Amino acid sequence: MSAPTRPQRGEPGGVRFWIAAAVGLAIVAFGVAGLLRNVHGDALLSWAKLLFGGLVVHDGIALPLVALVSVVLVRLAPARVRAPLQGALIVSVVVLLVALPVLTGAGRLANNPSLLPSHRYGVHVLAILGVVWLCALVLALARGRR
Amino acid sequence: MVRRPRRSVAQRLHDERTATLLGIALGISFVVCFLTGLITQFAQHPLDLGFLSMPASPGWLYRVTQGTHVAAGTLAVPLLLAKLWTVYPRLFTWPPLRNVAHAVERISLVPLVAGSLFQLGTGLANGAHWRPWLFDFPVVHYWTAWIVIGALVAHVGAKWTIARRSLGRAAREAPQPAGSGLDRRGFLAAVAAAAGVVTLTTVGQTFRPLGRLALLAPRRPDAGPQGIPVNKSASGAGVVELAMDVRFRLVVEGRVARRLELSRAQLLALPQHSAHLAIACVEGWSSAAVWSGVPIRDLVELAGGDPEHSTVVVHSLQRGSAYSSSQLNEPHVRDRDTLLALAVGGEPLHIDHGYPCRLIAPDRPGVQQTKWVTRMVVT
Repeated sequence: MSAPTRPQRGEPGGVRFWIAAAVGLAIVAFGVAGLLRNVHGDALLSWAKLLFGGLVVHDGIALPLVALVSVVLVRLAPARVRAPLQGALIVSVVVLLVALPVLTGAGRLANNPSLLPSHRYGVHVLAILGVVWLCALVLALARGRR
Repeated sequence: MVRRPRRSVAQRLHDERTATLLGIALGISFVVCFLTGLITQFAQHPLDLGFLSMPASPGWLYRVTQGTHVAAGTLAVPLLLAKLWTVYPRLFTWPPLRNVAHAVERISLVPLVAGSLFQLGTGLANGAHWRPWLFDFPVVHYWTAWIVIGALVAHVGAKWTIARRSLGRAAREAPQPAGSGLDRRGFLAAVAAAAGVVTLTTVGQTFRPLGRLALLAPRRPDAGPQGIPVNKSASGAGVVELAMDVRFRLVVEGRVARRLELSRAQLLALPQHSAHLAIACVEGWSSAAVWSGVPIRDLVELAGGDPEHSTVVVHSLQRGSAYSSSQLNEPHVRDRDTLLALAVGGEPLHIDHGYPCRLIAPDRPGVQQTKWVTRMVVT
C-alpha cells in the first residue's frame, strides 16, 4: 500500500527532478534571452510562427493522420503482411520528409549549378522507395512461408 | 476480438520501454549535434571566448565535426518522429496538470518538442537553400539549440526513474502489449532502417567513398567548377567585373613595415606552396583538393610583419555580406598550409572559387575561406 501523499514511482518530483528542471530551464532562459537579444521584429515573428506552427501541424494534423492510417491498416491488411507494410511505410515517410527540401528545388540558383546538382531528385526518391518496398515484399514472403 | 485493433492503437508501441530506447538514441544524437554545433559557433566567433581559438591542425577536424553535425541531425529525423509517435497518447493525459512538478515537466515539453521539430526541419531545409523564413538561420539555429538542450536536461531529470525502470530486466522480459503488426523490436528495426537509409543517401556529400550514393544530398562533393561545389558564385556575389579587372591588386597593410600592392602575376612569381585542404561548408558538405599559392605567413613576412604573432583580417571584393571578410587567428597565420591560393588541382582558380586569389586554410568553416581576396590587414 502506498501513501497517497507520496508520489508514485515515475511521477515527476524529488531532488533529481527539481535540480534538472532548474538547470534545464535556466539554459532554456539563456537561449531565449540570446534569441531576443539577436533577433527582432519580423525575423522573431517568423521564428515563432515556424516554431509553434511546426508543433501544431505535427501534433494536431500529422499524428492524428498517422493514427488514422494505422487504424485503417490494422483493419484492412491481412495480419501476416501488416508488419512489413508498417515498416515500409515508416521508412518511406522518413525518406520523403528528408528529401522534401531537395524535391521542392526551391533553393535552386541559376548562377550556381553545384547547388542541387541533380535534376532528377524525384527519380532518386522513387529508386530508393523501390528498394525499400522490394525489401518489404521479400520480408512479407519470407514470413508467409514460415 | 473486435476490441483488439483498438488495444493495439492504444498501447502497442506506446510503452515506456520503446519510448526510453528511442529517447536515448535521440538524446545522443542531439548531444552530438549540440557539441559539434558549438565547434562551428566557436570557429566563427572566436573572440567570444578570448584566448581560446580554433586549431590549424589536424586539418580534417572541422570537416569531420561539421559533417557529423549534419549527419546526426538527419538521422535524428526518424528517431524524433518515432519518439513523438510513441509518447503521443500521453499528450492527452487527464487531468492535464496533476501538481506543480507535473506542470513543470509538461511545460518544459513545449520548448523541447517544438524546438526539436524546428531545428531538424529548418536545418534540413537550410542545407538545400530552401529558406521560407525571414531570420538569419545561423543565429536562430544557435540560440534555439540552447533552448532545446536546456529542455532536454529538464526532460532527462523528469524521466530518469521511468527510464531506469524500463531498461531493467523486469521490463525487458515483460510481455509486450497485445496487438498485431510490428512489435517493439520490429518497430525499432524499421526506425533504424529509416535512419540508415537517409544517412547512406546523404552522407556522401561529405564522405567521399559514399559520394555516388548521395542521392538525396543537396550537394555532390565532385559537382562544381573544377570538381568542387560552390556556395556563392561570382555573379551571385556581384564581383565578376572587379575580379576580372587587370588592375586588380592585393593590398597587405596594417601592423607591417611596408604596405604591399601585388598583382596576380607578382603573386605567382613568389615561391608557391601546395596543400591538400578541404572546403567544409557549415551546411554539411565538404570537398578536398590540392590548392597552391602563397602562404599567408610569407606575405606577412614580405611586408615586414611578424608571422609568428599576428592575426590577419582578409577582405573580399564582395561587399555587403556578413562573409565578405574573415579573421585568421595566430595558429592559422603561423601554419604554412594557410594559403592565399591562386590555383587548384594545377589550374588557375575558377572565378567561382575566388579568382584572382582566395583564402584557404585547414579547419575553417567554408564561409570563412574568403574568396576574391583584395586586402589583408595584419594586426
